[in-house]
Amino acid sequence: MAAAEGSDGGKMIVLISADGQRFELPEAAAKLSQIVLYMIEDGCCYPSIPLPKVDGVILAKIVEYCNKHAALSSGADGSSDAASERSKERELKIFDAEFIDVDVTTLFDVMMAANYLNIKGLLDLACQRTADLIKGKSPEQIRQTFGIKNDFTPEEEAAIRKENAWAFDNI
Amino acid sequence: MTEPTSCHPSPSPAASPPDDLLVEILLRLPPHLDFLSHASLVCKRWRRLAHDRSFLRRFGAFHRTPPVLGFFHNSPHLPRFVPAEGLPGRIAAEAFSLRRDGDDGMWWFADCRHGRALLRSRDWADLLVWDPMTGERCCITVPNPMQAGASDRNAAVFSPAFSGGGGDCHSIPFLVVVVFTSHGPVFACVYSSRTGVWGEVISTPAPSPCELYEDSPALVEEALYWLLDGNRILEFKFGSQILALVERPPETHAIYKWNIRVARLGDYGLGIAAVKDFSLHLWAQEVADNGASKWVLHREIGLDTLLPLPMA
Repeated sequence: MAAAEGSDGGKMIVLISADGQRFELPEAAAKLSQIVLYMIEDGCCYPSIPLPKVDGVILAKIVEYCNKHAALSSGADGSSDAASERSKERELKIFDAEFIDVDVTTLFDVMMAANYLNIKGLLDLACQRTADLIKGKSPEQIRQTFGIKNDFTPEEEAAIRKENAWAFDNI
Repeated sequence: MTEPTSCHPSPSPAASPPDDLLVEILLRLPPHLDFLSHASLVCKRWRRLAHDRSFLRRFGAFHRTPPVLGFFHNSPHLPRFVPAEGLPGRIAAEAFSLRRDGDDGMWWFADCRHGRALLRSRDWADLLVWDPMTGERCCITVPNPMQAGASDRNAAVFSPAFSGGGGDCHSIPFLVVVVFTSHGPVFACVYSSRTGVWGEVISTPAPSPCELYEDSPALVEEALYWLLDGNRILEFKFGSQILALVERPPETHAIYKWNIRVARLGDYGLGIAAVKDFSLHLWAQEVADNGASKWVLHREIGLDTLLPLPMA
């Protein structure tokens, strides 16, 4: 099969999610994933690239992220003056903040998909968002946020607090 | 109705990221001990990861500026190390256990940088490099020529390879440089943790007598700077191993006496920070059209407007 072409003449790549959904995106966007990049370089990307570890809902998010970042990456539209670079950076920052403002389950799914697909910018974004959710919370609030079971016995917990004498002013 | 309605989203523990991703998350917590200490009490797995020595090393490297753990001082009447509030008990206990065998049993503070503290014996025969976050300790014997016959000494610890985001679990190598004066010239000698040996002693002529200030040096790009009396600064470029003297503003000693430090001033590079009355004076070097550099009083900051100083 010949390479598909997008409306602007660029090559298009087709990704298939675990549940069989098709996503078509420009090659420049797909290449943000190191894994997909290697498959394109090895010529293993036609007619489509199956991604059996990522389901359709999450892959839709990933494709949205890659499309936006590829479209706004430096020089994508030929302009390269400093003012337009700054404005693109601002737009990406706003996009990222809204993009990652999701529930914890989706956040973890996006993080693991970004890790599997090796999309560094998205992995950084998801890890930083999770760290931001942790900071300022007590251990119990962190457990509630992430659905983690406290597997310390009361004796162990008391011993740790005493042994470490770390600050627990706000717990 | 089986849909959860809780305002706290509670994913099943199975959805939790694997260890390598959880480490990436914990690395991105702000560099204050409180955040790590809270995270380490969440469950056994988080505690194991947050207390792992290679993680703590990466945490320091990731943030470039390691968290403030406390401060050292050389007052004989107080403990050598004063821990910051929230310091893990393990680190505080290690700090208190830093005792030497023989003579006064004390280590004296010399310098700290890039997450490591450099301590010395009273007679400068031994140095100790301590990494509080990882507990790593390295004792170094100072070669005899640098002890006998030296009148003033100072030292620095630093890591030329210290940079953010490093994923290396192995120890980041460090260098220790000892500078000393002896009847005229100023000398420097570098110890490398990578090779475990001292390099050649290098020297530069200096007017005699030449007193070396006791304060820690400033690291500016590829060089370390110590204050000397006589309106000079000692410069040691560790990349090229060149020792030289740099002039400082001639009036600074008369104005500031000992209330003066060399400092790195952002874009200006080498600078001088000094206190007069309630003002912090920052001196920077400006390069004139003819290429010569001269010192200028770059900024004055009124400390009484920033700090609640008791006014007599």
